[in-house]
Amino acid sequence: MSQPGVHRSTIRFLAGAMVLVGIALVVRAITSGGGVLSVGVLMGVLFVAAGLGRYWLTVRGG
Amino acid sequence: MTGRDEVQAQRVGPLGLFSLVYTTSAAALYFALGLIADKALGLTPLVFLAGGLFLGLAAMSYTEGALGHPEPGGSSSLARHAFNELVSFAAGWAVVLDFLVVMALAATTAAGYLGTIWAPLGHGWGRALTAGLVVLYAVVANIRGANPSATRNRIVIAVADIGVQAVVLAVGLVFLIGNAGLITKGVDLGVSPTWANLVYALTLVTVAFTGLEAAASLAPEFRMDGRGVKRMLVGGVGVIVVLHVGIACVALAAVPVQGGATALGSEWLNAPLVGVAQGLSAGALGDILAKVVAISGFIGLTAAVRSAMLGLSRLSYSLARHRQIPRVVARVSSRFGTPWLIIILSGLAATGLAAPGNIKMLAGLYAFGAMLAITIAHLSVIKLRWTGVMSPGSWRMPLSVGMASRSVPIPAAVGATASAAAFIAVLVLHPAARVVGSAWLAGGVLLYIVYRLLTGNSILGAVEVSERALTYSDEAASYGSILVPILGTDLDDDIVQTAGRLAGSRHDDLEENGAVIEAIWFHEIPLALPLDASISREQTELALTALRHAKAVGEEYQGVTVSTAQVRVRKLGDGIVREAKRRGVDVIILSAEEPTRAARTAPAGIGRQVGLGEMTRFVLRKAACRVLVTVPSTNLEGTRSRDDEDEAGEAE
Repeated sequence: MSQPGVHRSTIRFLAGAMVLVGIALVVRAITSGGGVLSVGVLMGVLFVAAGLGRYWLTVRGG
Repeated sequence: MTGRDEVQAQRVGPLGLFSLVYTTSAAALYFALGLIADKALGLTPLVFLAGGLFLGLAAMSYTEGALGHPEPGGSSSLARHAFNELVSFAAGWAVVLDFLVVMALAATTAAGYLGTIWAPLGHGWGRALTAGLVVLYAVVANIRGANPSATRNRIVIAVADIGVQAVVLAVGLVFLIGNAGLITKGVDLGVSPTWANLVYALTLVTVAFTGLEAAASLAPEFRMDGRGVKRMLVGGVGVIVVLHVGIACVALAAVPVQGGATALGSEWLNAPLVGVAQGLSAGALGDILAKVVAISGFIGLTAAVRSAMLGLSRLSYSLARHRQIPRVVARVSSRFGTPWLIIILSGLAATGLAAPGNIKMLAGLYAFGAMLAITIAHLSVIKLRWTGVMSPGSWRMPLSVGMASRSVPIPAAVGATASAAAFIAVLVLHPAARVVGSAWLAGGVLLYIVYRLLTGNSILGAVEVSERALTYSDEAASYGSILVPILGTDLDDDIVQTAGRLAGSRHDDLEENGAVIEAIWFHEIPLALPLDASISREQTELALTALRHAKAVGEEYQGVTVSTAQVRVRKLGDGIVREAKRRGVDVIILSAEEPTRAARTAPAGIGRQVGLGEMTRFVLRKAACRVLVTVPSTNLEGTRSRDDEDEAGEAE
């Protein structure tokens, strides 16, 4: 696999992991009694957004 | 090809540009984290986030300005086009301060990081010596002028990209596994941190912006289309913001706020990331991690000193080209193609600033310069957009509103308001910045005004010196004495500069081999009057002003002396020939009449004859010495372009 290929694959893997961690944060915050505006939920949403955004940039050639 | 040509031949794409901004921004974390955490406490991540938004606004203005006016100089160049030379100088001078402060900060904290491995290097004389050696390395590297390769840029990008996401993932896992409320611990807004400290921290976070100035200084070498701009703004700024916020979260998790303070701002102020490494894992693993961070911090900060010095040398070169600082300080080495003197001077200044090791004072000074320069940059872009003075088809930032058939960029307006407010906050909240920063600015403006007046240039008007005038040239022959007739026209500068280049010697550092330029104003006395007839006061004043200006221009060339005189003659051509013979000069330099269109389209030999006037032909025919004729280029509309190269004709 070429060097750019390794880079792209690694980035996609990490972006996917960020989405999963974000979902887990939201689930944990809610199951622990946190509200919609709790830090865990907000961080989780940001993680999901960041992961999806980075994946989108990779697909678009970024 | 000389080193300088090679530099000029290189073009900078989005990745190279991002690499430069990223290197500086990431390195800034190594010294800014402790300073900001000291003030913002539990709100440190939010302060970095707000700083990131501010960075995004500034990046948009710098990018629109740099692509619309692709010249080196950053905010100084934008202000020149939008306002005048004085505002341009103020912006440039503020950024000069920032580059010096960043060098001092980075060199001091580089010593701090090494000091965590061997304590004597991080304290007292050891710290000052280490910082001095870091600056010395940057001086040598910048004078040699080697640039990062494209491969290095790609590696930096790839490692940074992956590294940032790994850090963010680590933050997420810390939250997921540990206590999710950890980073908000100790936050009692208005008390811990206080409002004043919070505002102050917001101004410090802009320390990452030197990367923007350094990047903007590369504007003439940009190679970017609209897609590249979007990639740099969205991807680049996004990566930097995520990095800063992510590391701030990790830092507060590792070194939490306790009792209204964090050790990041005290014990670990000079090496905050080592404190974070030790806080994350205890025992041998923590020690190894801390040493790795210390070494990487030292390397990164040394690179940051070098990057800041590169930005400073480019900015100084731009200031010198526009007669805002004496050209001699930005003289370019013919061997390396770099402004060696300004690099050495900035190295000395940075070493002096780093010696006391007071990084809190330095950070305040930085905020002073950054806020001023960024405010001017935003206002310049607003003015340029309003007046429509941008390159046609160049990139424009989104979100503009139309007012009276003109356009106002909202991001620049918001950025200008925020940075102006932050500048006022710095003045109010930081005594050192208020006193030292104001003194730096006032002193610089005073020197600028004196320099402009002494050289006979307008304080507000634009003056430009050709690049060749700043470069020693191997091709130029050296002459002991040169006669230059001063005619009081715009072309006087050109012929005096040509004379200066010819007079300058590569070995004239001791001014032993410098030449004399005889700048002479010839008063043509009609035959109807005696040769000693009185000359009007206006004519005398005109001659004196032109000669003073010629002297100032000529003597900016190293080792060159300009002597001035007024001579009465019947015919200009005859007078020049006689005066040259009487003074025994080696060469006469004349500015020929502007060639007509017919002359330019005619075959070379004929064109020369058609284009030269009677006086020039007379001097060429009669002079006993060499005669150089500079012929100004003319475009098709018949107007003379300032940047056109002289064409030199020569006759024995």
